[in-house]
Amino acid sequence: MKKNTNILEIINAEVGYLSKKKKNILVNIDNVKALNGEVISLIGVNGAGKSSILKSIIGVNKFLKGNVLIKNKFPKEYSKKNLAKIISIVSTESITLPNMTVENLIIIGRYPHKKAFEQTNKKDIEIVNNVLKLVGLKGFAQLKINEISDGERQRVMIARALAQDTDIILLDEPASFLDIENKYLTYGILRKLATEKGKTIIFSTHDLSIAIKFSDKLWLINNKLIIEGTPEDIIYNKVFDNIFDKQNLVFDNSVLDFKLKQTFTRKVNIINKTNKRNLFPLTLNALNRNGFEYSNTEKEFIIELEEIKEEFIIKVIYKSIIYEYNNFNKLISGLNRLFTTQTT
Amino acid sequence: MAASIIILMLFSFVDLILGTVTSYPSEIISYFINIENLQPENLTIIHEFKIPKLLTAIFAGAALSVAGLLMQTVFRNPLAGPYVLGISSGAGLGVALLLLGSTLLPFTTNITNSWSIVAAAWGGSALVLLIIFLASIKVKDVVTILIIGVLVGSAISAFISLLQYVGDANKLKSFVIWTMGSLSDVTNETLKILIPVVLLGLIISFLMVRVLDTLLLGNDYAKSLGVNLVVTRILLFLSTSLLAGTITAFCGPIGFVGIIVPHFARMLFKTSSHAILIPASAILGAIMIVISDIISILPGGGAVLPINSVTAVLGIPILLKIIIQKKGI
Repeated sequence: MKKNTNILEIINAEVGYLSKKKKNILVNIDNVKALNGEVISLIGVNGAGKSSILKSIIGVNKFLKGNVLIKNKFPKEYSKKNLAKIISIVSTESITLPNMTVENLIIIGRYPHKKAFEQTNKKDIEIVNNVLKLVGLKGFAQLKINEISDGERQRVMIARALAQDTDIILLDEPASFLDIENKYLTYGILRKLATEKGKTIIFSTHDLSIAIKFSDKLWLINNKLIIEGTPEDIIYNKVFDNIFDKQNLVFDNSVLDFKLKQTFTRKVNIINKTNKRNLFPLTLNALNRNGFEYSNTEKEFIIELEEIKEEFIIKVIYKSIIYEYNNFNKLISGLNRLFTTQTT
Repeated sequence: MAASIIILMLFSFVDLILGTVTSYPSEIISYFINIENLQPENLTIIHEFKIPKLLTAIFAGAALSVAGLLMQTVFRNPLAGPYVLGISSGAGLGVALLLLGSTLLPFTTNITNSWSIVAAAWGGSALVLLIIFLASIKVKDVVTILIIGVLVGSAISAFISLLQYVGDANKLKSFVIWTMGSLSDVTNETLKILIPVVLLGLIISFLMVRVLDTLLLGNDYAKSLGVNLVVTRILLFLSTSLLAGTITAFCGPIGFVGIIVPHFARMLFKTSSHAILIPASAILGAIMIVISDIISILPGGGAVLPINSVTAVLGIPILLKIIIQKKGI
């Protein structure tokens, strides 16, 4: 597969809806591009127009202005079936028909590749088994679609799109209703499809940390405009810092996620003397939550993390008095006691 | 599938034996194998009455069930049936205008033979379908079309009530009998129209099995798979009208079969694939109407129950079960 081939492009387009013949523009797209084998996440708050953009790309909705270019051609330059061989979608609609098997559902994805009345043949069954293997559901073909879990059903929907055998797969909130394990499993599969099969994956999500972890590029909807860029570049350029300002959110570079803007009552220095690096963010999390701000120049109030003979010790040095705790629970109640007695 | 065909043949055999005049099983076998052995009067009974009625039952069952399956898929609704588009009320309007409407005319007409009833019923259902066709080109949402169908049906029923109110008492009785449904008005002559038209409807449906499968995922998915929704809808409405419209024209509205049989087919064959569900519904539908016909002639002594009452008695408990269990399509 050649990377860097331009497979999808939207230039100077408006996405939204018509009501009473009046345009309601949700997003103005100046220019965004998707390359071969790229994973792109479309992020924005609820109602920003993520679904509308995906529906406009696939042709279920119309662009208010402009259009999408798929392999350098407008959709209408393809026949309906040929377009369906290039681009597919996994929507938010959950399919739970009582008598539909996993195989029944996946074979529907073969529609554009077959004549209207052509029988299902061995090759189709082979494709069903292959795509099920790709999503980690080998042997699920004969199960009923409403008897499997939500996470499994979502992967079956991805398998259906794979059976459609398209270069581009659009997914609308593919894991928003899944638990954390299934969420990561699903995005892991999408990532693998991009790197191993060269599929271009465009998914919408409002989960920023997922988007940062799994995508090569973000299409970030902000103020009815799309900002395009690699997640790290967008973070480096402090784009996120200006997005949620009103809502008191601030982007935390250390954990690559948003957090609530907080006013701290006290500064504390944390010194990790153990060789376990994860103890630092853990301690910081506990302290931040209780109103302490980290400062590496603080001299009067220091917390030292130590391990002596495999025993964990949290040493609080406050105004030269040392307090020792052996877990975070005791640390927090200790700190509370220390500072409430001080103020009263 | 083979088993259901054998069951259909068995019930058909029973149906041929029973009737206002009972035949011996040997006579039925002779009819198919060695026709010269039959007494002329027995031959007439079997050939002119029993065979056409049986064929009508088989084709009516197949047509109504497949039409019901199509509508359940198009509307993604387990309670949709062949008559959701208002076909039966359209046909009823045609027949009511023919039988009762003449009272409204200043002159008297006498065109109430069976062909004119068929023509009136067809015309009526075609008119309603035309309205639904036009709506379906303009309106994208299938639920809206469903509601339009129901509303048009209600408006027509109201108009029919008016016709019944002003209608002549004798003609009112003919109309009420038509609404009860009957398999025995069809002759070998009329079968020459009924069978090809129903077959055409069945063939159109069978050619659309893959498109029908995509519709199970909803219109957006179907569109993303390259399905032309407007063309699909028109073809499906056309085959529904060929199937259900024709049967209604010849036999009157036969209720419940079209709603229930597709559920049987799904439960029995445990699939949602139309390549299996269409033939399965056709055969199971044929079995159901043949059984209903057997029940309707069971009282004996020349009495025949209206077929619509039998299908209702058989159908309503099953339909209730489907509703209570909230089974989907």
